[in-house]
Amino acid sequence: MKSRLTACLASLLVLCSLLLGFGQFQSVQAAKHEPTLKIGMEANYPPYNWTQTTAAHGAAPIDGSKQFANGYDVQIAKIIGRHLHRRVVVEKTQWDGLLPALTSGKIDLIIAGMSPTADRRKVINFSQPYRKSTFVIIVNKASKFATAKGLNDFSGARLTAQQGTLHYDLIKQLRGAKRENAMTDFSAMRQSLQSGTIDGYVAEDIEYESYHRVNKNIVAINLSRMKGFKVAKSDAITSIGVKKRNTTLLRQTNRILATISAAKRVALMNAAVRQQPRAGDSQTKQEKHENLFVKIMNQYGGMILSGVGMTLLLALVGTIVGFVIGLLVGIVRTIPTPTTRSKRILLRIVKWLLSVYVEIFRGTPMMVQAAVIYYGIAQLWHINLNRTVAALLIVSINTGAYLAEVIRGGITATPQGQFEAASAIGMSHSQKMWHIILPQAIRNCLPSITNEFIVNIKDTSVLSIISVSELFFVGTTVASQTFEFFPTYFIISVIYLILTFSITRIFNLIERRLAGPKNYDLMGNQLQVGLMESEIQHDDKN
Amino acid sequence: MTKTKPILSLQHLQKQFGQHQVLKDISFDIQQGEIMTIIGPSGGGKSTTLRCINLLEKPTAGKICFHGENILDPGYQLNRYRAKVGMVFQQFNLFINKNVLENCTIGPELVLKKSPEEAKATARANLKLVGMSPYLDAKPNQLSGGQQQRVAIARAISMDPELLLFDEPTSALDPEMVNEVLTVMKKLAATGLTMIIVTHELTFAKEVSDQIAFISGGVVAEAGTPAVMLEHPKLEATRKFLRHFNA
Repeated sequence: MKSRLTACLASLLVLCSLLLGFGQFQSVQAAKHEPTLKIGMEANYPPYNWTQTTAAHGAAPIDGSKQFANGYDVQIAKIIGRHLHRRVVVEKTQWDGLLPALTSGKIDLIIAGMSPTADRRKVINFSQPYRKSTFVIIVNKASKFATAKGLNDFSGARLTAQQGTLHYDLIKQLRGAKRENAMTDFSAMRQSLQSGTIDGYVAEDIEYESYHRVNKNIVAINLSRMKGFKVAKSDAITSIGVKKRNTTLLRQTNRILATISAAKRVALMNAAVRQQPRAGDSQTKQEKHENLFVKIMNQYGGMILSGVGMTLLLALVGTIVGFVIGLLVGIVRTIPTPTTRSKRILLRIVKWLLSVYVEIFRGTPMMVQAAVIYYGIAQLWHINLNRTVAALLIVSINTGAYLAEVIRGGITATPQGQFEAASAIGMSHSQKMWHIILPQAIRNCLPSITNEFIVNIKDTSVLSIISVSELFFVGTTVASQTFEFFPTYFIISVIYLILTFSITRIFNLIERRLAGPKNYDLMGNQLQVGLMESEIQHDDKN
Repeated sequence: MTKTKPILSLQHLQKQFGQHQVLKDISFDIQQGEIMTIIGPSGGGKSTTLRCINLLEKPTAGKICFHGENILDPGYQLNRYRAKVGMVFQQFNLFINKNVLENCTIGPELVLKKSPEEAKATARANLKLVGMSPYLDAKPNQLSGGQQQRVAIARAISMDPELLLFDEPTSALDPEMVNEVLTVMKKLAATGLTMIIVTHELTFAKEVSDQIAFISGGVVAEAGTPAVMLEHPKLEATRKFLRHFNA
């Protein structure tokens, strides 16, 4: 039974690595000799930066994936890289993760359409601007706000902007406007505007230029020219973020930026607007609907499968390692009080530490743990953990904390008579645990362990905060590139369902096997009654 | 009366659960090869006495001497002692994750470090003695109570104990299964194994015991040979207790 279980788990692991092979670990092989210049960006903010599957139009590779980033920011980055003789590698990072990534040294520069606001200046340095912005509100043509002329014309409008940006604060200047919750990226805002859940969103003129290419039903209302509109000079420009202590790189960046003429900048931006991904505008609407799922699978199938592989790997390793952690913690926490004083004190300290571990990791969200561990370790001890390693670590210790309690419960739920019978034979604590109690406890815990596995498959999606390319992260990327939100997330949810459903079945099977025979039909043994005498003479048969 | 050195000697044993003093003063000796039966009313301290002997309960005061050595002394090799003192429980307590044969081999293999072959041979012989040979592969939950108790006895004697404790071995059984267990115990009694039995089966007690102790209110109220104890007890309490069974 045990060997079959091991075989089953091993084959699952092989499957994971096969799936991962669809996407990962191939890209970064090329041209390793030049030192790299790591650029942080969302790769999800066209035309400044976006993700694409090919290297077309001078795109730069995204670290840890088979994908590429391109856009105005990438082209600026490449000019800087060329002057510094460093190869540009894009670290695809969520907007809120950019500052911590820079201060913890995971990236060298932020080139992400970021404005050098006063708050940000406290944490990092900014270069000279590489672009000046005009602020607009994007609304539907049919909307009653489409004709707004002044700051007072937005009464009752539901407006939003990107989370953690200046744009979101600008809404406050529009008297009477309802500030909806901020959104994480522009794809989501476009989708919300189209579906009518918001009336408009604040962005830069360039976002309008881009979006207008694919959606002719929108208009931009220029905020910057409105009477009374106030914005700090530093907020209307876009600069490159550099770590405070890294003054050499700041000086070099400024020198290189000075060499890029205004005409060159406009040309680069226009090219970016032309090249940015579009939602299949060349196709007729009908064709689009016929082939949507097929199209997504054809174009992004490999990427999605590699996401499945990463999700399975995280959930599987997390659950197994978490189970081992839980087992050890569970055993230690049920050790009976020893007789000698020093051992008693030692045990009490260990038990206390373990309960602190359990409380902390059960009592905080895994998303927060991920951010704290991934960025914290880098910032405090300058250890740059690999994302996948960090993710595996986080899932494992998080699962361990939950399973420790589950297993402790399983141990205490084992009938007292089993402990007593084992003690009466003279077994030591570890013999008792290993041979008698744990096999029973684990069998009783199996439904909870299955549960934890399934929770892990779904909840590893929160690790997208440290940009691990698991299924959800991949889904978000695909959705933002195709602008096909419903079909993409529908495919992703079906995949999640298939994963969790098959895992439930597999574990039910294991559970039934472990429960052993439930019948009272001892026919096989009845047969032996007749053979009893001869059987006893052939003792060594079994 | 000349006595050799007793195999087990209880001296002024006390046990307290919180405020409740269950054992007040228990003292008795048992010689090698002797069979002792403990009778008495519920809550009188019979089972607690037995569980103290195997240290499933830790006595609050007193001495338990095994071959003259106090097992309550710090540093005493408790697990080695337990390996020599077997126990049969009221609720059988077979290892439910092990089959019948494994229940009888796991102790000898793990604790006595016997080879699997040797452990199996002994286990098979003992299971044959208790009449459970046909059920070697059965799991405990497939067996009747009487069958489980016989396996439990085989498990205990597979450790080759010097002393075997029985804690009301037939109390949890249906009446028709009581006899199959008692028959096995009589067989064991005939082999000369030292046994302490807590039971309410007085006929059986009379048949096999060398001495009977009446424990009530946490003390050994009266003790003696079966003939004296069951026919002419001195104390009124003993007489009153026995009347329940003869009525």
